[in-house]
Amino acid sequence: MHYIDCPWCGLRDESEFSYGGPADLIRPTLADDVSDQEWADYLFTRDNPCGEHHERWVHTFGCGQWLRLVRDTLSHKILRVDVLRKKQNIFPNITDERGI
Amino acid sequence: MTGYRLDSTINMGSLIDRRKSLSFTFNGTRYKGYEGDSLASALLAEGVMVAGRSFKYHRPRGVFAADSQETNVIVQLETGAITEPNLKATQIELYEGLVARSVNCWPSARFDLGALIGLIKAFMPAGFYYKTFMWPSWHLFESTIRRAAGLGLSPIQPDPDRYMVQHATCDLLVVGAGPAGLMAADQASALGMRVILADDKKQSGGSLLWNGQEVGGEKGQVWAKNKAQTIKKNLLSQILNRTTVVGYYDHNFLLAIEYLPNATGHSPRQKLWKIRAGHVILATGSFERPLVYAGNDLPGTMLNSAIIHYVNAYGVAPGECAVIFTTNNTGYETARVLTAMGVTVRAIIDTRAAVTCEKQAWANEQGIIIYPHTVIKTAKGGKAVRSVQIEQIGGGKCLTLECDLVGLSGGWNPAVHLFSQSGGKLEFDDRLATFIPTTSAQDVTSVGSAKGAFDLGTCLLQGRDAGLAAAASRGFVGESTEVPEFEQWDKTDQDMMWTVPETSLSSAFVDFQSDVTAADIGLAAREGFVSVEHLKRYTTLGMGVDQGKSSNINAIGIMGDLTNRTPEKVGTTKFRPPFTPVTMGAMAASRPQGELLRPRKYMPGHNWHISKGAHMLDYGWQRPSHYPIAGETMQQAALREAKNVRNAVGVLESSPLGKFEVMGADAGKFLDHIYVGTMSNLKVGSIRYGLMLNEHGTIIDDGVVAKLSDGHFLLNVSSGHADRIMDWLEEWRQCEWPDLDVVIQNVTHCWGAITLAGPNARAVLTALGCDIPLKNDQFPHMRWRMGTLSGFDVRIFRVSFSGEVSFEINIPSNHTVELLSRIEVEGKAYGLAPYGIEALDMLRIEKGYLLIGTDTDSSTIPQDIGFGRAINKKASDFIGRRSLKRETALSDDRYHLVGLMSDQMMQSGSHILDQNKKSRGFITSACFGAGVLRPIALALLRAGHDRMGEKVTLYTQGTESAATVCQAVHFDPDGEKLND
Repeated sequence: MHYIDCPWCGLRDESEFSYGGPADLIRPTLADDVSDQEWADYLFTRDNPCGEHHERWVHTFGCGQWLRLVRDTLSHKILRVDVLRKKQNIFPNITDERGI
Repeated sequence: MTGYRLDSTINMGSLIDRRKSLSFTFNGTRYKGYEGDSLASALLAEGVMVAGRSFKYHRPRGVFAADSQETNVIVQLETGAITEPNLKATQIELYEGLVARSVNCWPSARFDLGALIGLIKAFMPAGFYYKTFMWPSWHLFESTIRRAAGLGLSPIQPDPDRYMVQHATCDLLVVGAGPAGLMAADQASALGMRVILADDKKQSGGSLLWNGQEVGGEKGQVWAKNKAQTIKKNLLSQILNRTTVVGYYDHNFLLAIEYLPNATGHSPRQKLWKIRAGHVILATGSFERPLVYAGNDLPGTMLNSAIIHYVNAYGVAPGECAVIFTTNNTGYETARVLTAMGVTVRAIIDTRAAVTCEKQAWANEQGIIIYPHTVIKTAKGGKAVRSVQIEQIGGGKCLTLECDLVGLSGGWNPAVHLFSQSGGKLEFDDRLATFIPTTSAQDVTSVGSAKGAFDLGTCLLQGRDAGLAAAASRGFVGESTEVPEFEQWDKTDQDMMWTVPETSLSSAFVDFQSDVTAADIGLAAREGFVSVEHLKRYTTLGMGVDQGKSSNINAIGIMGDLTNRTPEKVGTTKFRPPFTPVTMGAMAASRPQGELLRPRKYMPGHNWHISKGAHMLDYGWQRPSHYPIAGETMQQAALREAKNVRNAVGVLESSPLGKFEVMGADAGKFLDHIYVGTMSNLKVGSIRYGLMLNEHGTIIDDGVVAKLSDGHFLLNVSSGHADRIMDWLEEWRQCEWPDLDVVIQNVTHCWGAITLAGPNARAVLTALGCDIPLKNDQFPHMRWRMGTLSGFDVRIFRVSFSGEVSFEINIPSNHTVELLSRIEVEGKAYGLAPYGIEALDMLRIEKGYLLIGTDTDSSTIPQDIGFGRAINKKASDFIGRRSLKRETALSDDRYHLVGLMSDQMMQSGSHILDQNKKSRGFITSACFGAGVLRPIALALLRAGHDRMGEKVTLYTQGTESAATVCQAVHFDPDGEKLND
């Protein structure tokens, strides 16, 4: 079971958290201009990296805040936990392949 | 002859108390043992040689090991509700009145009819079932084979025992309280670490409890006891005895099971420990390996370490005349221990060509014959071993030796199970002929024989140093503890032998419990199952209760020899938790059970409803389904209550309705994103209905939004969805629109809600004394007002889920009961009666008000329930909008929500058939309409909106009936009553 260092609450068991998918999805807005393919990619197509994965978790049985984690999918090590700030590169040291 | 208890003048037995005699029953016969005995040691002492039967061929088997590695004597403990299957007799502590049976034999272990299978053994090699029972169909044979398969029996009754869970954190968890573990725990605890030391025995000491070695000038057992006491004296540290660490998971999270043998009444029988450790030291020891030759499974054949264990710890001689077969120095120690007890040692058979150890000289002095470079080729006997045939390696002299005990040692395997579970890498060590831990994946260190250090000195030193290092890595520094003096017993001079050369492979057992022979492994290799994972599944090797603790490494070696690979290349199967089997009850201990499985939610007025004769059911909340009078059925009561709403006035407690306040400058903008409808232009005092979609366009909830003031909204969401919708709103607020100025507060439990519905509702409010103007033109439908009612501060919402004029009163929840009572009193004159959820359901179906999740499913989009226009009108974006423009969403052949009329009662779930008897839709809700006074239904029907007035055929459970498609709103379609 993972041990997640919530920036608000401290180290807590994974069972207090819920997983919320990848952290870097960009939601197409004013969606009429979006093609079916782009929309389907947003809904369904996911990266499955071997190594660093940026993902969202929420501290369901704690502060209720959404967090952004960098987790190594191979070793399950959690490299970083941060308060979620959408659309800002809060990991200047980590280059994201999406260029966010 | 058989095993017996040694005279107390020769050997007391270090773990037993000869003053306390215990009686127990095994396979229907009564026996005696002593306090401190294991079931296995007591059986040996009583001369029970055949104590179990093997799984496949039902071969007679006797006690083989002395710990969790036991593979032969698997028993069903106790009977009835508390019975526990498949326990190892070596791990059961004897107690007065214990009752156990061998599994897998009938009528008894000694005379087992299933042994007839053994006669056709030659025709049942590995993979026999897969090959034989394929034609014409596996299912033809399945039930018979299933009955023969499996070991013990699960209890049929619920488990009356109690279990508990305990969470713990520590700086250091040491697994195993042998010499290495004790040193590590003592060192770390002396430096101020919070240490947990867990060990599966009832006493700390590990191998020191039975191997007779001395440490620091005293008996090993005494040294261990003193060390344990030192650790216990430190208040930050604790020792968990009788505790098996069974699983090692991510981020140093470990599971352990503590056995509490003296459980009585309500005290728990087992405790599940969930331990989060800063660092873990694995001092889990090692398992001895048997040797593989024909007849190596005959009762009377034991591991050398087990022989020493039974003699020293339990004062039991497992036989009278022994032959010791060894690839290393362990055999000589066994011979020494046995000789001292007066047991004849006929010979030591050593596979090594050149034997060089001090014990050899000792053996020569004692007159024990040593046969170097020699093996046991075959053991002979019926229900126990009678003789062994020995032969020099490479041909040469054959000799038959009579004996009733054969001691085996093929080397030692470090118990790497937990290390491997933690993600650590293993490496094959040629010198030790076994796998040892190398690179760790977590904060974990292996020490002692668990790391391949088989001599006491290295164990003690490694333990101390690991304790020091673990402490230093977490900032605990100080003096190191002293490593005591010790008696050396080197086990490292080791010969590698996976099978005895030229033995008969088909009766040379590798996995005793599953009856896998060396020949079966050969067959698997020939048929291409050379991967160790395939080998396991094809032959069932290592799949028994012991999970291959004795067999896996031998099998890997044999497979390597057969395929010209090193054991390293063959690799091990994946080590998975649990290390030893765990009772279901213990695993369930961390989950709430019974009444606590799902907490019940009670409304503020719960007791008031009960006092009115309500029948309560769980609808996510405890709510009245109906209020039966004088023997009414639920249907009769619900129809009466619903009619009373239509004709007079009804009262319903609707407190469970989800109530969220959304506040902030951007609250309107936020809600525009969330709802299909536009909420930002809502006027203060007004209410609007809205649908919530997910990104797939599916309707996930509906409800009303009231604007309380500028930048302040109150959302009503479905009772059953409230918690989920709250999470949903927070997720979007925090993750997608964090820059919006908005906060959301769930105030569901702050407010009691009481609904007054029916033509007389307004009159009841007036009678209660209400300072809000109630006339329709002053307070129309879909508006809300604030004021006082019967002296209470309230908000009143004119919304309706029944089709009647309806006032939903929100009142601070602590006043709910009082207001309900006053409403009851004042309402009497107006025919007021409470109504339950069943009546509410009838009223809403009749009015065509849908329940999301009941009248819609995971593919229902707004167009399907008649909200196409609302979507087209809205210019701004909202969740799910793009999905509503997909080709499938725009199709004409979607499931539309419609009404159905019929002369007969309809049933939800009924299919609506086309001419070809294919289903074109289904009924989602059905009832008898209390207002229209005929059977009605709501349904999802393909292209239903274009089929108004059509006659359709309904199908349910083999019967067909007729119905007519109509609008979903059966009652008051123009809203005349609603807007009265």
